Amino acid sequence: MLDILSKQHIVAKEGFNRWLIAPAALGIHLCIGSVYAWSLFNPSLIKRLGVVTSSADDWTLKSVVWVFTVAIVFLGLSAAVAGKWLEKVGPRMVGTVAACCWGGGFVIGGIGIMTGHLWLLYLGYGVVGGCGLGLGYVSPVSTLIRWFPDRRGMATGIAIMGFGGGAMIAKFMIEPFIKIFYKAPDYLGTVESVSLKTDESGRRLAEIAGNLQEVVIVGTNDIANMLVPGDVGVYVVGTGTVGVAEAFFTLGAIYFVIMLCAAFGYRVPSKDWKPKEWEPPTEDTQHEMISQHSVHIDEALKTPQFYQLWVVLCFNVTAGIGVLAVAKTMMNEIFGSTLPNIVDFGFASTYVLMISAFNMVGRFIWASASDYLGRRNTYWVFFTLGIILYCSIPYTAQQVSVNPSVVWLVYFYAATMIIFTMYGGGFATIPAYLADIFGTKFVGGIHGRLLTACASAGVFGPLAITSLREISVMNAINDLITKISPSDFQAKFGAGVEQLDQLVTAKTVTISKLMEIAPAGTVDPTSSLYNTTMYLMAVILFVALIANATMRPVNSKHHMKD
Amino acid sequence: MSFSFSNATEVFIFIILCSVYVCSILWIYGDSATRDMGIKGAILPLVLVIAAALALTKGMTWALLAWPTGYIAWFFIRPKATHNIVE
Repeated sequence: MLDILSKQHIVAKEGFNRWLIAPAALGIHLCIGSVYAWSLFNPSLIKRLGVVTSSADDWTLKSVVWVFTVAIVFLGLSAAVAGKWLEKVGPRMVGTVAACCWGGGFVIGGIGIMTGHLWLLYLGYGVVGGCGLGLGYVSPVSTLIRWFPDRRGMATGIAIMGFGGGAMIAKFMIEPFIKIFYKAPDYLGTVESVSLKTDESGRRLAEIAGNLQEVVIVGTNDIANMLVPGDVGVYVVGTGTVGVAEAFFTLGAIYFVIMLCAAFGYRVPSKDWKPKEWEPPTEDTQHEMISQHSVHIDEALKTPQFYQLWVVLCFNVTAGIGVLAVAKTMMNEIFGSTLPNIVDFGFASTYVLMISAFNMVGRFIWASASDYLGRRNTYWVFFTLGIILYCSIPYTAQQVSVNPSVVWLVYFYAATMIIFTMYGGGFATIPAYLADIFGTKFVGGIHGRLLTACASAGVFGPLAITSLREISVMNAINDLITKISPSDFQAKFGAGVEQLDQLVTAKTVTISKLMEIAPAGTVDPTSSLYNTTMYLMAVILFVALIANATMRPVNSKHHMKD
Repeated sequence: MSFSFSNATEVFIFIILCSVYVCSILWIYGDSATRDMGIKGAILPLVLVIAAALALTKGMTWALLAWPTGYIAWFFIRPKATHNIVE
């Protein structure tokens, strides 16, 4: 039975059309790429019991957000471990296991949601699903590189483009499914018409048929946050369903079927196969960066080139996440206040959609371009252009606060979009870079181990942004305090400046509130909050630039010998 | 001195230190695989991973001490003989 999954069983027959591998690879990556749409589940998960609004026993946002992080960490770990296994058993077996893990992860997670066991959600979606992500991510890469030795970059770009675009497609499935399975809880009436009590733990209770039952109250301000619009009033906890568990089961089944079909579409070329009328480039000075030798997975870990590429990938992704995570906030904070007629809610939503689109398109375009530019030159472009763009963003922000012109908005939009194409391009070009440096034989396994760089970047990026922004906010508040008279402060906040730390922690004092009492002519520091982050990202890109610039072919002592 | 992330330099140093740790551990895994260490080759680097993580949570001084100590220790405890991987 397992024989049909083996590597030997899927060797392509003479005349097989290599382009048929691309949709199979794209299919798997589109399915696993939906992980980036995790935030769409959050509003439902925090209302699992209350349904219309969060009840006392519902999960917190903080606890469900971590499920995504666990999945990304397990992506890196499983890819690192399974890479070697992939080279042994072939892509169909790995793709099939990935389908079982990703689909099964949704099912286990769905059971966790249904039964109220958060640990099952972590285990299912985070651990099992995360392993499915890692296996699915690496499964088509080496196969594509072997089928397209003449266009390695383009081939891997097609697959990895799917990972970037998966979230866009998932959005059109997740939201409708949740709405289909949604069932509103029992409505008791308006607050005035129901006899309510509050117990010692702060829960609201209503008497129904002689029994006290927990209820939630939807106020006017809560209407906008309801999953499906409903009436203001009192609802009984535990009588409706938020629809997310059922959506998990359905999505799990859909992803399993698509990924299984895609895995069965994989074929590997015979050992000596090469495209017609194509000859491997000779190892002359012109092609010195494209090796015709192979380096074993374990041996690759002992070469400096592996760590140079690790730094290249990790720091490119860290810098990308650095701006990706704050782009929408920057757009709102910097341009929303200076150009409010242009930057409204609709503009910001389109901007977010464009981020995903440019991230996805960049994966294909840059990876394909690297076939002509050369891998090292492509990363040269990423890092030099990246450093210039990152350093220019603080200047743009400062200029727009002084002179609110649409030119700065256009520049910021264009600069961030170019950064997002290079973020995606960095992901998509790396497998071809690895194949050039270490040969094609073990590229899948080596790529798997290199994905530890992505897992590390997943920690570094958010860490840098959150800590640096916090520092900038505190510095800006302390600076503003020196310009505000203590009596104005006391009148505005009902407390003295000596209580500043507590007031900031309670979000009573913010930059925007301080600006309301600041003397006329005080420059709003909001636009400069991200300056340190942008400069740090530029420094990180400079380190990556050095690692890329010093890239040389692997020493022949590491090559595999017959 | 602990990591308070109170300025950009500290965040940068933390990122570099973490990168050095991850890369060192990957190198040790590769080294152990070419020295036929079996299960010991998987467990020993794991001990270093845990030590590295603990050192990083303790602060910069611990992190700066733990990495070279663990790395040099590896050269003493690993088997001397190595083998070439052949097709």
